[in-house]
Amino acid sequence: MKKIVVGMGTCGVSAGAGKVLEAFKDLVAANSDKAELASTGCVGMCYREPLVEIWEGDRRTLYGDMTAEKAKEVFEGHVLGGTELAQYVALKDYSEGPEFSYLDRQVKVVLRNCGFMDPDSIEEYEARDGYKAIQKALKEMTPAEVIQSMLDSGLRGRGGGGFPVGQKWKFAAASVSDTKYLICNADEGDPGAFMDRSVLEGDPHSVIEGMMIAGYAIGAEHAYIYCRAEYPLAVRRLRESIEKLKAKGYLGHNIFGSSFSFEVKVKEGAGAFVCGEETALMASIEGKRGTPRPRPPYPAIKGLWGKPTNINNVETFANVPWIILNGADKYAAMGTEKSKGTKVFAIAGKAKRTGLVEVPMGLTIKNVVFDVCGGIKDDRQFKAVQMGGPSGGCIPASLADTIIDYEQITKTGAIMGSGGMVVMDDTTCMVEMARFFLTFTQLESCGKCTSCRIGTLRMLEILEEIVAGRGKEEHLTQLEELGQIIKGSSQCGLGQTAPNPVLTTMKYFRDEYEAHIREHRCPAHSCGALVKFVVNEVKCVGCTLCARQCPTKCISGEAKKPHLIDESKCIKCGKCFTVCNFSAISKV
Amino acid sequence: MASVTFKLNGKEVVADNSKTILQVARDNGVDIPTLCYDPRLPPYGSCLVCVVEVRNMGRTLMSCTTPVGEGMDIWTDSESALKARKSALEMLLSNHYADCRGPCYVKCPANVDIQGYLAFANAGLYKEALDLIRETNPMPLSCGRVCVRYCEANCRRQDVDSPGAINFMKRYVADLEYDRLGTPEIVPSNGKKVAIVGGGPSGLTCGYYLRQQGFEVTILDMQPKLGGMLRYGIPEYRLPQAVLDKEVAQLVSGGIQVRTGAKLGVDFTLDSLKAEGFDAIYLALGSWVAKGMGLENENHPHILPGIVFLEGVKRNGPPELKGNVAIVGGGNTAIDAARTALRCGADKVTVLYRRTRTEMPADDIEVEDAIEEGVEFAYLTAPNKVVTEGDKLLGLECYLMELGEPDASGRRKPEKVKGSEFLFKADWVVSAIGQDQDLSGLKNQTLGEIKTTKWNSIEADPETLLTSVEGVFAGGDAMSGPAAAIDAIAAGGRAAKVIEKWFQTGKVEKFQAGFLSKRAVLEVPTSDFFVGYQKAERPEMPKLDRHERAKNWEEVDLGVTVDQVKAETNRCLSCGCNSVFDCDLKVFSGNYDVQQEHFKGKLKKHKMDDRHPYIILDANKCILCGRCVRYCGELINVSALGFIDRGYDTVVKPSLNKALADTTCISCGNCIEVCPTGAITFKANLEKPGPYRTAPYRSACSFCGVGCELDINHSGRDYFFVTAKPIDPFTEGELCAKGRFGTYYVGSKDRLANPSLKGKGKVDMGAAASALVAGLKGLKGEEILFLASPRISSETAFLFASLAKQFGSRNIFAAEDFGRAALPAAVASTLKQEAVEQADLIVTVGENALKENPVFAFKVRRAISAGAKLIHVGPADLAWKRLATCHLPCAAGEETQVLSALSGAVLKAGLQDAESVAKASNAAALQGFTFAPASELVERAAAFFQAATKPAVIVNRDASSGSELQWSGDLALLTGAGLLVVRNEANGQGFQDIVYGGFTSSDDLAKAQAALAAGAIKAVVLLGVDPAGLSCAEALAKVPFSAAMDLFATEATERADVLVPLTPIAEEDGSIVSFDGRIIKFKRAFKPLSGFDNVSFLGESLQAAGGAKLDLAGVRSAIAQQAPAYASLCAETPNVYLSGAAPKAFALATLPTEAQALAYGSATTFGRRWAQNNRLKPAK
Repeated sequence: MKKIVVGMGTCGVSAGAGKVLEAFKDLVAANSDKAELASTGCVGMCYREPLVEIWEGDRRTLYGDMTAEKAKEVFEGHVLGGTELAQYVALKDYSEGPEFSYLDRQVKVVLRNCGFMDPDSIEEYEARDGYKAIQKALKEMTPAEVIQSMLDSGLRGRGGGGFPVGQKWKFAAASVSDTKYLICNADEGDPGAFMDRSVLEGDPHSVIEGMMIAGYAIGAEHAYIYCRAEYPLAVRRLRESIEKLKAKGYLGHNIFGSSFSFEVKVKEGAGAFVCGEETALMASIEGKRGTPRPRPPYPAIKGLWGKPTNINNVETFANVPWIILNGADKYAAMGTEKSKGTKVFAIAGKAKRTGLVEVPMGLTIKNVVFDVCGGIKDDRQFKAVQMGGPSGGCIPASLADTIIDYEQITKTGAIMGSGGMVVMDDTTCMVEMARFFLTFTQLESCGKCTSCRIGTLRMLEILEEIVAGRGKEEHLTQLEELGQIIKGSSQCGLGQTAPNPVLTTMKYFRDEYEAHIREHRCPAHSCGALVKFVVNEVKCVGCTLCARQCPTKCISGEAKKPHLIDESKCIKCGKCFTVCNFSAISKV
Repeated sequence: MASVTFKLNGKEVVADNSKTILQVARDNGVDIPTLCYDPRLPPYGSCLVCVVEVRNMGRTLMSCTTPVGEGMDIWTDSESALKARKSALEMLLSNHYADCRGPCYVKCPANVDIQGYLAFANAGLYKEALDLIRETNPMPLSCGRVCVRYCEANCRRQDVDSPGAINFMKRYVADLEYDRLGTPEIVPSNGKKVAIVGGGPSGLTCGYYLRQQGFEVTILDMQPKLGGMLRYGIPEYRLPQAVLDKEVAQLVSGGIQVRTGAKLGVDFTLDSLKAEGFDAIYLALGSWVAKGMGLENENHPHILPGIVFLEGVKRNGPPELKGNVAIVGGGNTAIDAARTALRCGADKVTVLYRRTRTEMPADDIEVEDAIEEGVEFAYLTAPNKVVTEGDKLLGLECYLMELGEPDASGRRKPEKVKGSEFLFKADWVVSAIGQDQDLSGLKNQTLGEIKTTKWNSIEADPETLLTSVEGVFAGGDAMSGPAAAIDAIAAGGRAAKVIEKWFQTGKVEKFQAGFLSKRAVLEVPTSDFFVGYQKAERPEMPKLDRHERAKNWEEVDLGVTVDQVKAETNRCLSCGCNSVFDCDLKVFSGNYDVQQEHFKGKLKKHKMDDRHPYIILDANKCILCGRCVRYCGELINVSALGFIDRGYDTVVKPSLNKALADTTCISCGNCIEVCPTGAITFKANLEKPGPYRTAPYRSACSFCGVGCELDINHSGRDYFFVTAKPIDPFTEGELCAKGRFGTYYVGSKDRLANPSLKGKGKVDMGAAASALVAGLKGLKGEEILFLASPRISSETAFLFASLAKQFGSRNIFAAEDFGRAALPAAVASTLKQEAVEQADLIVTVGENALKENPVFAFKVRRAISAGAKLIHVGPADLAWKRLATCHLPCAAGEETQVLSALSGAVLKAGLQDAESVAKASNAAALQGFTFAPASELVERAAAFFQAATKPAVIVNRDASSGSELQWSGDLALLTGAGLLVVRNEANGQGFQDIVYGGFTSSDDLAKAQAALAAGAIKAVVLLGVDPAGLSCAEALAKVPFSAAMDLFATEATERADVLVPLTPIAEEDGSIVSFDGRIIKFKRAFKPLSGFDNVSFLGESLQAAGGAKLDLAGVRSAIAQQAPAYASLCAETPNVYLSGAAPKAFALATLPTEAQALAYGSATTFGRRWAQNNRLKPAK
C-alpha cells in the first residue's frame, strides 16, 4: 500500500494541485487496494509546485511540477509499477535529490509539520507530539515558569518588532484585571509575504497550541485570531480546527483536566494593511475604524475592550510549543547572541528557488540567496535583497555577508520584518522598486497622521516623476527631507517605516536615482519612459517576428533585412525584446 | 502613576508621569501649538504640530501623546521642533485648497477687507461697511472716485462674467454714510510728535492713523490746501473739490495741526523740524515735476507741462484754450489733461501716443469717457520737433511709429517709421509724459543724508519705509515714483503702523500681515470652479450726458443706486474664509513662516456643503484633526460626523454621506467651535458669509435651567454668533442648539421695539409706566393677576413681584405653574451638575427629564459611557431605553408608584444609607410605611444601590407633578444619592426662591385661579407670557385691563392696554440661577432694542406706584435681604453656588389617592455619599 500526498497549500492550489489531486482521486479509486490519497500543506518549495509525495513505508519520494498527465505517469510508473520516474523527482526521502540543497541548510521549527501531515487532522498533529507542550505546561509548569522559559529561549516577536516575547508576556501577566485577552495577529499584509499563511494552512494546531500556552502564562482565557479575509483556506482550517478542538474538550472550560479555561475566536480582517498594527487591529476587532492610537497606554495595560491584552503573531506562537517541549536551551542554542532560533522567510523575486525557507539566525544573506535558494535566475548578477516588505529596506549585494540577526539587519537600514525577502538582479530598477513599495504604503495609509497621509503621497509623486524621466535635482533632497519627517513623526509602524525602501535605495543606489534624473536613463532598463528599444543590425536576420508581434506596428523592415523601430510610436511594451530569437533587440 | 523629574526648556520640573508633555508644558505656562488636541478628549496625535524635541533621546516627539518621563530633556522651541512643526503645517497646507482672503484683498495695496464691506453693504449695513473700509483706507470718498482698482482687475468674478464693481460700492457707502462719521474722537496725546511733509493721500493717511493712536501730528504742505495730487492733479469733474474738502476736513479734525503754504527747503527743513522737537518725520512729497519731452523749444508758452496745466486749472481757474490742442502721452494725466482741455474750450483735443491703445497705461474707463466726450486719439504717433512760425506755435512734427520687440517692461518698443514725418497742427500742446520728484529740499541737512535712487526717488526700505536717516520715513510717489492714490494711501497706513511700533518697541520692524492661504499657490481655479454661478453682468455707472458734460465741470459719475448695490454685492463670490479672524492653522502658519507651496502636489477638492441651516462644512479646509468627529461621537454621543475613506482620500463627512441636518445631528454647533480651521463654520444670519469681525460679550443662555454662560460675538445686532464660555484658554465650552442658534431671536427684525398704549400708539417708557400704574390703581390686590415667564432675570422677577406687592396683590406666578393644582414643593438640587459625570448609578425619572436640557444630558450620557449604570423610571424613547441598564417602564404620571416601590425595595433589601436617613427629622416615619409593591424588576433595580458609591437621582421639576418630585427627593434621601432637580426655564430656581419664597403661596394660587374663573380678576399684567399656550387663555382674554411686556407680538400684546417691549437676557444686566443653584451674573451684550431694560421700566413703574426707587444695585440688595443665599449678588465676586440647608424630612407621600402631605425642606447641599466620594474640586 502506497500513500500519495498532494501539497494543497495555496501555492500548490494556484499552481494547479487541484487538478493533480482530482487525477489521483480517480486513479486511487480504481486501485483502492494499491494506494491511498491524502493532502498536506506547503513544504516550502513553492517553485516546484504542484508537489506530490509517494510514500512506501518510511521511504518517500517527492515529485515536482506535477500535472494531471504526469500524475498518471507517476501513478502507473511508480505507484503501480514500483519504479521512480527520475525525471520528475525533486527530492528523495528529503535527504537527496536535485533539490536537496534547498533543505540542507534549513532548520524546521516553525515549519516542522508543514507539508508533513494533514493539517485538518488533530490525530496526525498529536502523532507529531501535538498538544504535548500545553499539557506539559499545565501539569508541570507554573505560568511564571512558562514565561521564564520564553525569556530563556530568547524568542523575539516574529511579526517584525522583534520585542522579546517573554518580556511582553511578563507585562501582560503582571497586569491585574478580571479579564485579559490574547490576540494572534494573522493579518499578514506585506506584499509577497506568506509565511503566516503557510503555517496557518499547513499547521494550524501548533499556532493554537502556542496560544493556549501563552494564555495560560499571562492568565488570558479569551483569545482572538485576527486573520485577513484574503486567506480563506487559513480561516476555514482555523475555524474547523477550533470546532474540533472544542468537541474534543481541548478548548473550553478546564482544558486537559486543568483549572485553565481557554476559548479562541477567529475574526476576519477586511484587508487594511494598517490593521496589522496592534492598536489598529484591536480597534478593528472592536468594530471601530481601523486606525492606530497613541501608545501608551500599551495593550498590556489597556488593550482590547480596555482590558490587558497580549498580541503576538502566527510565527511567534508556532515556536512556543517546540520551545516548551524541547527546552529553551535547545532553542537558544540556535542563532546569534541576541537573535535566537530560526526565522522563516518568504523568498520571492529573481532567486532560482522561491518559496518558504526556515533558517537558523546567524546565516548570511548570501547563504540564503545562494546556498538555499540556488542563486539568481539565469545566473544574472545579484543586486540586492529587499527585506521587511514595504516597511523594510534594501540590502545591496555588497552587504550580502550581513548576518541574519535583528541588530545586524537594522544596521543596514532594512529591518528583519516579518520575513519577506525579495531577491533582485541587475534588471531590477531600484527607483521603480522603491516606487512600488511606496505605492503600497501610500494606498494603505489610514490617513490619520499628517505626515503619513500627505507626506507619503508627496514622496510617491516625486518618484513617479523620476521614473517618468521628469526628475529634478532637488527631488533627491526633497525625498530625503520628506522621508526623515515621515519616519520621525508618524504614530504607527506603517508611517514610521514607509520611507525605508526609498531611503535605503537612495543610500545604496544613489547612482541609479542620479542616472534617472541627470541622464534620463534607467540603468536597469526597466523604467518604460527611459528605455529605448533598438535593433542590432548585425544580429537582426529579418525574421519579421518582432514586426508581427508589435502591438503598435512600429517595427518596419523587409524580410531578411534588418528591421527598424519607429521610436515615436513605440510604447515600450518590450514585446519585441521578449520574442526576438536572435537577441537582436536591445534596451538602451 | 509616579512623580518624575525632567527638564522643560532647561528648567527642572517635577510632574506626574500620567501627564503628557503638552499638559505639563501648559501647566508651566509654556504654550505648545496644536491643532488636534482637545483636553476633553483622549490624545489623538494626528496633526503633528505639537512636536517637541527630547534632546537626550535624540528625536522629536508628539507632546500631546507622550507622557513625561524621568530625566527627559524637553525643548519646546528647539530648531528641530520648529522645523518639524513647519513641515507638518506645510504638508497640511499643500492640501488646503482654500483662500484665507480673496484676491481682491491680497492685491489691494491697503488690504481693504473688500469681501467684508461688500457683505455689510449687501445687508444694508452701509455705515458698518464704511467703518470697515476706513480701518485701512481712510479716504473712501476720494478713493471711491479715482481708484485704479487693482481689486477689480484681480476679481475672480471675471471668470464667471465680469469683475465686481467694487469701487462703485465703496463710493456708494462713502457718499451715503460719510456725514454720520462725525468728528473723530480727539485721542489724548501720547507725547510723541510726528511731522508729515506733504498733505496728499499718503501724508493724510499716515497722519490720520497716527493721530488716532495719540501721536501729535503736524502736516506741512507747500500748497494752499491739503489733498496733494488728489486736489491739484485730479480734475474737478472726477473728484469735486467739495468732496475732497469734506474728506480732508474729517481726517484732520481729530486734532492734526496743519501748516499749508510751507515748502520744504524754503519755509522749513528737516533740521528745523528736528529742532522743533518732532520725534519722527514722514516724507510724502509726491511727484510734482513734469518730465520734459526733450524737444527744442518745448518751453514755448503754448506748450504746457501736464501737471502744471492741471494744477493751474485748480489754483487759477480754467484758461481759455482755443483751437486744436494736442496732448502728448498715454497715462492718466494725459487723459485728465485732454478732458480738462475740452472743458477749457478747446475746439479739438487729440491725444498723441507712441504705442497703441493696448499698451496705453491710462485706465480703460477714463479712456472710454474721454472718447465719449469727443477726445481724439492718434496712436503710433511721436513728436519729434516743435514747429513754430515766429512766436506762434504751429504744431508738432511727428513720426509715425511701429512696434518692435518687447522691451524691459514687456511692452513692444515703438520705433520710428523712416520718412513718415508730418506736421501735427496744434495751437496748444500739453506734454503729459511723466512726472518726477523735486527732492532739492532734502539736501544739506545735518540730520543726515537722505539717500535717493537712480530714478530720483527717496530710497527707503520697501517694508518699513525707513530712509537712510533714523526717524525719517518716506512713502507715496516721492518714494515709489508716480503711482496710484491707493498705493500712496497704503504707504501712509504702513508708515503709521511702523512708526507706532517703533515708538512702542524701539525697533523698526516690518508690519506683519500674517499668513494667507491662497488657492492660486496650489492651483489657479479652473473653469470647473466657476460652474454653478449664475451669470450677471456688473452695473454701469450712471453718468452725465456725454455731450453736455464736456462743457462743464460737474462730476461725471453720478453714483450707483441702492438696487445696483444689492445686485452687485450679491455677485461677490466670497472667495475668502469666514474663519479668517480665528483660524489656528492661519495663525500657526504665520508664526512658523510656512511656505504653502513647499509640498505642493496632488490636490483633493471638495464641494462646500451649506445645506444645514446653521452650519457650513467645507472639506477643502479640513485638516483631519478629527476634533469634530471625536467630540460629536465621544462627548456628545451623537456621531453625526465621521471619517470616510482612507489615506489621502480621507474626508470628514456627515454620517452615511447624508446632509448634516438629515443625520442624528442635534445642531449643537460644538463641532464649529472645536474646528481649528474654517472647515466647519457658522452660517451667517446675513445673506453673505462675511467675514464679519466680532468681539465676544459674555452673557447667559435664556432657555433652559442648565445655566450655560455664553459669548455673544458681534459687532452690532445685525450679525452675531454664539460660542460657549471657554473653560480655559485652550478649551472651548459646550452648548446646545438652543443657546447657540436659538439666541438668534435677539436679532430678529420682528422684535417689539416701542412701548405703546391702546388707542394712543407709540409712547415713551415713562408714559407706559404711568399708564400701567393708572390701570391698576384703585383695584384691590386680589383683583390683579401677575403672570411671568421664569426666563427673566432674578432682578426683573423681584421688581415684578415688588410691583404686585405694591398693589397689595399676592397673585404672582410663573405662567406654567398657574395651571397646576398646587405649587410644587421647593425641592432643590443637592448636587452640582458637573458632578454627574462621576456618578456610578443614575436614576432618571419621567420621559422628559432631560429633553429640554441637552447640555446636561451630554454629561449624563458621558457618565453612562464611562460606566455608570442607568435606572430609568417612566416611559422612554428608544435611545434612552437602550442606554438604560434597567428600565422600569410605566405610563406617564405613574412614576410615583414605581418610585415608591423602588424606595420600598431599597429598604427591604437594607440598602438605605443609614447616615443619610438618620439626618431626616422624620426618619421614624419610614417604619411601617406602606410602599407600593415591588416587582422582581424593581427589586433588581434596587440592588444596584448595593455597589453604588456615587448615585444620583435626576427629576425634572417642570415636567413632573409635585409628587414625583417629592418621591425623587425621598429616594435620594433614602439612598444618600445626590439629587438633581432639572428645570426647563432659565431662571426657574431664582423665580422660585425669590417670588415663591416671599410673595405668594399655594393657597394664593388656588384663590387666584378661582378668582379668574369667576371673572373677579380686573387686571392682568403679563411678563413674557404668551397666553396662547395656557389653559386659562380664554379667561385672561376677558380681563378688562391688561398690560403685556414681551419680545414679540402675541394675542396678549395685540390686546394689551399697555404694551412694553421686554428686554431679553442678552440686553440686560442681571442674574439667573441654574437648576443646581449657581448664580450667574451677566452684563448686557447688546444695548436694549427699546432703549430701556426691564429693570428701568419696572423700577419706574414701582416708583410711580409709590414704591421705593430701585436701580439694579438696589434690587440686588433687596433680594439679598429677603433671601440671604443671594448675598453674593451684591458683591463683585465671580458666580457662586447658593448655600442652603440639608434635607430635613421624608415627604413619604403615598400613592396619589391617599396623599400624605409632608413638607420637604429645601435641600441644597451635596448628598452624603457624594460628599464623601466627590472628587470634584470645590467651585472657584
